Amino acid sequence: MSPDLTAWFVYLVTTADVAILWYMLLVNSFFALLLVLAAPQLFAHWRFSSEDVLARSLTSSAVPRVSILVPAHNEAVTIVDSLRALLTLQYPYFEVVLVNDGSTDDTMQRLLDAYDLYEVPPAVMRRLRTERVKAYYRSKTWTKLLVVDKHNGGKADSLNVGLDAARFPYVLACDADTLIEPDALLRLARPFLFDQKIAAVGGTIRVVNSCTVEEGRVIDARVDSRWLSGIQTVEYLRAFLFGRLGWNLLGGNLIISGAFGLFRRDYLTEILGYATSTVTEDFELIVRLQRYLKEQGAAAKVVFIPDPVAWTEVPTSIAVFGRQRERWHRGLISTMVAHRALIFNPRYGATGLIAMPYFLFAELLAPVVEAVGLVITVLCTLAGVLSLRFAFFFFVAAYLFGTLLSLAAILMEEVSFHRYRRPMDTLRLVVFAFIEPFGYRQITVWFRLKAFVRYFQGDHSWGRMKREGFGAAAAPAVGVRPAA
Amino acid sequence: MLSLDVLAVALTVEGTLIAAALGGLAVLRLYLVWRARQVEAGVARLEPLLHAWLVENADLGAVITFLRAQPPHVAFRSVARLATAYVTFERQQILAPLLRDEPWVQGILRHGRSVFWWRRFDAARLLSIVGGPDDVTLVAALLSDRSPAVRLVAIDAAARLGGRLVDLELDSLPGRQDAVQQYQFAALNRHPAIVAEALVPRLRPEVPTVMLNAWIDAAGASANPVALWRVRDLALHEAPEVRLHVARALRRHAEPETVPVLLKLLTDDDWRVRAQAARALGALRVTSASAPLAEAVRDRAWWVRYRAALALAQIGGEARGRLLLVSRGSDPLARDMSTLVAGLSSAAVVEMSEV
Repeated sequence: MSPDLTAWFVYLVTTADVAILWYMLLVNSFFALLLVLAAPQLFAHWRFSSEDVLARSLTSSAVPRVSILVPAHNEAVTIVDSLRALLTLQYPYFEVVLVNDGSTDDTMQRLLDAYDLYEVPPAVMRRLRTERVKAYYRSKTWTKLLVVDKHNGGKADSLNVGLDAARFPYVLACDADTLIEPDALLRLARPFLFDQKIAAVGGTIRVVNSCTVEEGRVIDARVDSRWLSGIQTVEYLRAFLFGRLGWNLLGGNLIISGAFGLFRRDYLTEILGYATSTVTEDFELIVRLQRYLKEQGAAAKVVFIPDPVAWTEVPTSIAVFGRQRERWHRGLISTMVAHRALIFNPRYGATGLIAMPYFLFAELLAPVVEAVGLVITVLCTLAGVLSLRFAFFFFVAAYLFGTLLSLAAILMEEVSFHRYRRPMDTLRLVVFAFIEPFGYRQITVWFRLKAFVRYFQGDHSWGRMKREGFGAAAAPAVGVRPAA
Repeated sequence: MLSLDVLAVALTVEGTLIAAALGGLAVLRLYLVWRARQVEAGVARLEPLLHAWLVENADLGAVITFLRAQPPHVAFRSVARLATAYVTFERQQILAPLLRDEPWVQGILRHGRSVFWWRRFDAARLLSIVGGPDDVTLVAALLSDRSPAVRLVAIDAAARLGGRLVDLELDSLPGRQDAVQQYQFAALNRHPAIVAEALVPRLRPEVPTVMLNAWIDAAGASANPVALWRVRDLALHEAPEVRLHVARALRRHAEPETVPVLLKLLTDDDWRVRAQAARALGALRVTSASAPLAEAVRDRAWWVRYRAALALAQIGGEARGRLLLVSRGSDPLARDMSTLVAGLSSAAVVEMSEV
């Protein structure tokens, strides 16, 4: 290589290196800010939720009426138990609208048998365009249940059918295989009752792997000892306990998990429900909702509260985990592209100026920056531009910062809700926090990079998700996004 | 570029924070467990003393002495939990003046205007149990606190103390969202006699519509007969919104004089009023309304057809027969609706009519 080219190469990689260092500094500072903002809120919610007076008030008959929308596709193994758990939630007024999305197994037959269903005329006001509905069923034994049987159209399409069939002014979207704690709906309704202008509320998703589950209820919370699901447990704690709580104060919460979110139905209807063209309909919905609220000048907010809990199973094999993360990132890319008009647009307030740029730089581009950074660091070190000593200290600093954030999330969990009662589980969380940067992060970066390739190939598929089931037989299902 | 010195500082800070987090995990957990056990022990020891006073008319002095001997947070938590669960309003009136001047109570109430919301929250909570006439000003301030949790707990205290505080809360209801109105009124209505006394004079036709609607809803939720008589007199109000709220509230007013009013509202120009009138006729099981309800199943508005069909099913007997006739009739919309409702179980009809 000529001296000129060498000089150019050195200049290029050192400039890129500095840019990446600044990027990491900014992103990590932002994470630290989220942590600082989340701590007082976590304390407030913990106090609210631990006060018996509020628990008593929440059992008042004056709570908002809620329709629970449950899309189900090939859930024959778990559907009867999952539905029974939903029908026995502690809440005075609710209905469950289960939408069978063209299942090819015997999901529908099991529902017909277990719940004594009978067909009723289509007496609902159709407002959204969806795949054709085959029939509506009511149960002779469970008055709260409405089952809609429809042709396959995907999860978003099923949610739209449920939205049309819902009778009540608030809707809770959840997955058929998500286990909602009995009092979670009462807790989730709290912000609507505090006279705040609220468009949607999200609750915490926790990892159910290794927990003891009986009749659709988690009766003993454990941390899985397997590394992949164990690390995801820490990741979920971090994402929910300070990621989303921090965003509440910044005013730009962009994720309410599709597996567990309570919405005002009128807003969802006005924005024409869920988009069927994306693979992360929950994220896209909230971005569109935030956009709509800002364009209409509505003061209603999208908030997250930590004490309502739903449990979900996370992948335990690299292949399934990879497909899930790749899909999430592909959904993120498509949503950011679709709503690029919001980025740095002051018209959209905090959503345009903080949240969307954050999701662009700290989420969407993160795997690219991380991969490029790794390559450049190796190249610089080999070329002698970067001292080994510096590279080592920088790596340790980055590693410790990530670990510190995870430990902060575990600490917040321990001093507030303390769901994992055994010291061994806390110890496992700490160990997983320390080992997360070795292997797990790099695997995640790889699958997220693959998402770019598949996005540009025009791939809109979900990919096959296989689950182990809650201590029972396997059931295919969707995933629940934990991103910050 | 970052120098090694900067990295060294960052590493030191991070290492220290990690050590603090790990230490905090252990220490804070132990501390919180210890505090929780202290409170549980306090509750367990207070319960038999309180029980003896409530059931066996034992001396209340034992309760007071026990609480005085506890750390303030234990005394507070124990009383808050047990008094709310077991002690009736009348007994609370006996307990309150005896506790009000206790040093631990004074200590907590002193924080009623603290800058920290959780201290104001504790003060409001305690006032809902021990509050007296001297606390009206503080409770009034807490009712408009910037923290929604404090405001909510203060409603309990206001309902206990009555008078100006109930007026304040009733006046604030119309400014709230619907769900919040219902919820806050339910909290206020724990002592219905005090609330009804303040509510009835407000139900006048000349009151602005928004306020009147909120108070009509409150009258309906309270099911107080005197208040509902006043509501009935508003059935011919010129504003359709008011008639809508009247029709909804009257489903709790089981008096013969209500029936003609509801039948009149069943033919109102506004479909929302007709739907609520049908619902009320069903809730009151007005058998004489079968024919007009069967006619309403053919209404052009979906909600009126739905409510009328449910009402016929709810009334039962001849009314259900009329519903079945409609399900075999020529009007396709009426036929669909009556088929839907006719297949419902009795429990489903009741549940769907209520919400």
